[in-house]
Amino acid sequence: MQTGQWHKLDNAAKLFATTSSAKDPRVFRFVCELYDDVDPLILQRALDVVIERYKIYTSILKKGMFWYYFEQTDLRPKVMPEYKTPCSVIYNEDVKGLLFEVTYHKKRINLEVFHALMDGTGARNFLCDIVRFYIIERYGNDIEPPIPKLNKPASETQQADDSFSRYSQKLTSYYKTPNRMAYKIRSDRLDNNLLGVIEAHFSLKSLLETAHKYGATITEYLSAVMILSINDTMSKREEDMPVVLTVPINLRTYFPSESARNFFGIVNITYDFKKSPNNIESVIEETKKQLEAQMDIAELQLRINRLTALENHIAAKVMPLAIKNPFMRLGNAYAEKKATAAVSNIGRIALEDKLAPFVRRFVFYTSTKTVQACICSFGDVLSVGFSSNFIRTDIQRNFVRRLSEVGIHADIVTNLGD
Amino acid sequence: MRYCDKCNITVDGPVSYCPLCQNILEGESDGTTYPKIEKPVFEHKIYVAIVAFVSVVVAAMCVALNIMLYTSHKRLWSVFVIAGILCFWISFAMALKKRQNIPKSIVWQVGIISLMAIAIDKFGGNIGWAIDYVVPILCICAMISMKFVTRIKQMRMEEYIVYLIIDCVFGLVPAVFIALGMVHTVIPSAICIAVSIIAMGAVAIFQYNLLKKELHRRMHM
Repeated sequence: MQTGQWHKLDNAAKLFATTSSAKDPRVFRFVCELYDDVDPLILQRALDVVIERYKIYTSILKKGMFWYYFEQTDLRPKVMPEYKTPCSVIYNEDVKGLLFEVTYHKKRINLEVFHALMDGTGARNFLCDIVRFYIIERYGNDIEPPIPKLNKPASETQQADDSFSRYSQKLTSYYKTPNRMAYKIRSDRLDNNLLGVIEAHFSLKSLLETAHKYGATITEYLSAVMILSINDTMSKREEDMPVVLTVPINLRTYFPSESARNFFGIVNITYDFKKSPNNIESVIEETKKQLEAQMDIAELQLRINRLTALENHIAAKVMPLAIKNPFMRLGNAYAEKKATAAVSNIGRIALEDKLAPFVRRFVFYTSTKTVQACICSFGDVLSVGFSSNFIRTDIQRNFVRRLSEVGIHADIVTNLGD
Repeated sequence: MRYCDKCNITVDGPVSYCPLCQNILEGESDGTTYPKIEKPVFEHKIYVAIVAFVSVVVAAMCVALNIMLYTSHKRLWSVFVIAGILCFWISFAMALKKRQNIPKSIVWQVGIISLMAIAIDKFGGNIGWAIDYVVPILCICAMISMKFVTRIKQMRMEEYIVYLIIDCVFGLVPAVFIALGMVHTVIPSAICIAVSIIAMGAVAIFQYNLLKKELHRRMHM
């Protein structure tokens, strides 16, 4: 991959590039917390080495006549002390800069990414490689030989793979049963589009035990708790509309891909409190039913076909970007009316046994116009990163209280201040 | 680590109360995990505000004067003053918005100022000074200033070639006006068309590969 080379955006990236705004910059942050203060020089060295294995991330975003596109550059990232509020705007169309940032503060390494560049899986892999190299450089003397080597990365072609296009098939029927309007959480917003982050760290073992008691996975159990936490704040009249959670799914587990870009699909969990009871067992049962139905390979294939059908339509191809953008933003605003909140589970983050003891925990969260809970686990810690522009924090409070009532207590870290 | 007894949680944050239930926290704070971020300040805001206020004062005085002197010359000249001030502000706002990308800003300014000049000309009796003088001179200035700015900022051709081409295309618009018989003084338009053709020729001859590459990626469908 050489400087000046260009490539097209994948399907999800096209949407993120168009709909990025000051209110929702489409930026997410992955955090690795160590036990010691971060050494910036070693972190810079780690970043310098690892970025060469992910050359695709040195791209900038440019506007063409009909579509955005990426252009490879020889820009290299510089590590900086944390200087912006979490998940602030990264993409500025007049500044041709990198689309991600690595910052640090005390014991934390932050990777902030513009979603058009990569998804959570890509960011997790990228951050973990940086952390691995950092630990080996910094604590090499304290590690018993043989020191683990970094895994060989996927080839550049595999990393640059647009998996949406590769797995896309022709759509046979455009018809889709329309989704219902969802209950929308309303609240005044924090000043200056500040993203209020509340991290809740739990014992993974206790959570697993509780989830298994209900016969559910972590995603199913916590999604149910989230739905109920939202319902705790709803009036009887507001229950006319269902609570809808959007859940991103990593498609790489269903369609083999080593893509370092975006490759995910969104499934929904819809719960109607007018028709169904509000006890945890019922919500979990409905959640399981809906997730299992949508996480079927044929269903996901259909979803990919629908997503790519629009961008491959001749009308979309010949329409100039300047005209496409307002339409896409309108479509996006309409889709947002059909979702209440989001839950994203990236699963376990694993480091080699010899390196794991140097890391305390991971957490991640994303910019959003509503409330989003991002879940990941490392070792015995399961971390939920709540993020929202809202002033109200009652949903997060209910979530933590519900788990506290079954004996699972949280360690909270927040950026909300006096 | 501080503790909230109502939520049964430990809290780390720049707060003395629980972020979930606003209960007072117990215990000592041992430093925060998130740094305090200063709110971004646009330093020149006050100067922009002063110039804006001066514009409003000037506009108000002109309107008052116009009303007082109307009976003697029966002309609404204050409308031109207000239009001029508005045009200045539109141009200034656009320059400010696109200040990080000067070639793009130049292209926008040419477009906006040309349109505004034509609009004012039409409103003022369609004398033709906009199409005769403003448009061609603006295009020539744009092409020259783009060359200067990109040389000073040491910009690579790839970064601004698109804007240069758009400028040259603007430079051919006077040819359309001549063909439609809307031009009375042809000299400025003729010079503008010549400069535009020379600029496009230079790019096509000396930068052919670059131009082809850049057009291919910008126009991909």
